[in-house]
Amino acid sequence: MDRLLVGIVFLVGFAGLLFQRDLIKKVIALSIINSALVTLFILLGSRAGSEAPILREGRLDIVDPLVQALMLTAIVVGICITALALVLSYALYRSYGTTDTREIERLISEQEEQQ
Amino acid sequence: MISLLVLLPLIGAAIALIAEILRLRTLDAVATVASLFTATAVALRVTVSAVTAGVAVAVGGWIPPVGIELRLDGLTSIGVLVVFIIALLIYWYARAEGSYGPHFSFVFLTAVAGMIGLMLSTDLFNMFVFFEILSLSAYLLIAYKRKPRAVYAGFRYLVIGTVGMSLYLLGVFVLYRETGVLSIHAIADAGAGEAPSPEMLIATAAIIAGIGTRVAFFPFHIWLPEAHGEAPHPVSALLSGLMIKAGFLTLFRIVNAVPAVPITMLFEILGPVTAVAGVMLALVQTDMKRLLAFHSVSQMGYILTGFAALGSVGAGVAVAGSLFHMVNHALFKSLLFLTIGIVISQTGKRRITDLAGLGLRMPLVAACFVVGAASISGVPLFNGYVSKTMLSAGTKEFALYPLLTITSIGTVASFIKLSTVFRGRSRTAPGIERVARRMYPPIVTIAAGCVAIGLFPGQTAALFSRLTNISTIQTIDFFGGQAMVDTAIVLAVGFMLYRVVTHPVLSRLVAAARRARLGIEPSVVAVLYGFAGVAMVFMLMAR
Repeated sequence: MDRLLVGIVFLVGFAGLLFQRDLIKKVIALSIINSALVTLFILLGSRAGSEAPILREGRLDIVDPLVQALMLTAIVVGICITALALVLSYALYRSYGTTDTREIERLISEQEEQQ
Repeated sequence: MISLLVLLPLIGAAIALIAEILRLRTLDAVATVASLFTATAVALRVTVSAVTAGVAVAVGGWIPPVGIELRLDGLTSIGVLVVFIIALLIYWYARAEGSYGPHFSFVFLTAVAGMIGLMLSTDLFNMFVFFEILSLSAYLLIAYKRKPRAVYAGFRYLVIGTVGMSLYLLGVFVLYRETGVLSIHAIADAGAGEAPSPEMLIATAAIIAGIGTRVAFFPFHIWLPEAHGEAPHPVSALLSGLMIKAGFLTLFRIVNAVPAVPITMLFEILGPVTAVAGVMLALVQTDMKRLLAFHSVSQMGYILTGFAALGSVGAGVAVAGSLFHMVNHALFKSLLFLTIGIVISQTGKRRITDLAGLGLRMPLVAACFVVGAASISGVPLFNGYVSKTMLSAGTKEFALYPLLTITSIGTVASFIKLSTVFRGRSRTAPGIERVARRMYPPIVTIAAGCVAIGLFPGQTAALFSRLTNISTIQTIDFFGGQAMVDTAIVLAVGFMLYRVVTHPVLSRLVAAARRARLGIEPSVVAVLYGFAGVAMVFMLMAR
């Protein structure tokens, strides 16, 4: 059930990427895909046990700490990508005056025709 | 010692960032050159032990699977040296051109560190991190000049690249669930001697698709021509010459780690298809840099075809040839991008048809261009010929081998087309400035490297095989009669094809084809279909 839910979130991200024409919404979609993946990994790790992986005497029923460490890195990477994507979107908005990808593509091909 | 190879460029990058803040205009150049030089020295020092035994280090003293392992072997040490040396020359070019400040040095060095880290990584997640470091700096470098169109190319590459990396992570997830390990050596041990499970096949397909968006083989190549074509000239040289090669080394390791998955059969198809599709699209371009960018795709097809020979009888010579072609491509493609870059910045024009007769105005640039063009076309006495001959000796048996011959012919034709820029009578205004002397050393050095490898094909090929520990059973007669006749035929047919392609009727037809360009959504769909296709091929072939 929970895995199905993550799958739906994953697909929502892809749907956003494919059906939203706005630059910012595409960035949000990328962020959603990233979150779905992070959740998927954490879900996998949680199957191994039920307690946080802080080792103390008598505590053996811990979740997989490796995936948590990995996902910490993946989250950081995801933030970097989102930040950069937003910077690029802003730069595009400043030069084309719109955040609509179709409009930007049309302007680019118009410029090319003129040359 | 070998973590220094990643650390030194990063230290250089940090100093460049400080130079940016303090507005010191030369400190960053000094830091960049110094860090690349010392890193090269370190790489040279560890090469001998790397070739004989391989050097591994657990970063921070944490042993795998918890810690991160970096490993240097013969093949990677060649890769590392090529990256450092060519990056240094590209950087020289960028500084000589004058419009690149400390901010550029910072991102440039981060990209170099990303490439080195990627080549040294041995576990799948660490590869993901370095892939992302590399891609983030690539997006920034493409958009560096803030030309709107380049910014959009960078954004599109970011979206496609992130989708690719999501697929890669998904693959890593399934693999980790199946095997419980991430190191490629451990995965190789875990899967040895068993038929791969369907999950394993899908995981590998996702990983191959993810790396595919980085190294740009068909059908994951769509972002490359626009991104590499619109990037500033030194960046194009860095991306086309070096960056895709770092991804290919990773791909090579993964293919080796999962021998049970029928990847080689897939590459036997995708390689020639990529090669021929790339060259056909290159032929119809009128934009100089986009033509070169499509050739990068096409040349990657050659390398992929060589990988397809892994595990078969004549494997040695094809695999060595394909890896050697990566080195050679790094040399001649960066050379081509830099020489064409000089042409574009001197004349301000990008279209082939707008320029002619520049050979007399910039003879040395023209000479370097001819070296690069002859190398990529596989003319004897130049480096491309050496690796292409090795490759074809090992892949002649493939059903799709004729496509590679067509690619060679197309390459010759399109470089004859590109050379019209230098040939004939000058049609451009006389107001072109002389090329500054400081622009010459990088291109002349790279051109000298191309010729040096080409003049001694037997020796360099043997040295390469020894350094990489790939034994080649066959000995190749590089200047034998048959090879010469074949080359002459390819060159002649290539010239005829050039006459056909430039015929006015045909060029009007292809102009329409050229205009059809893909937006963001179709490219994402192409990546997803590509993944599904790869997974299906694996499922069918594994039976």
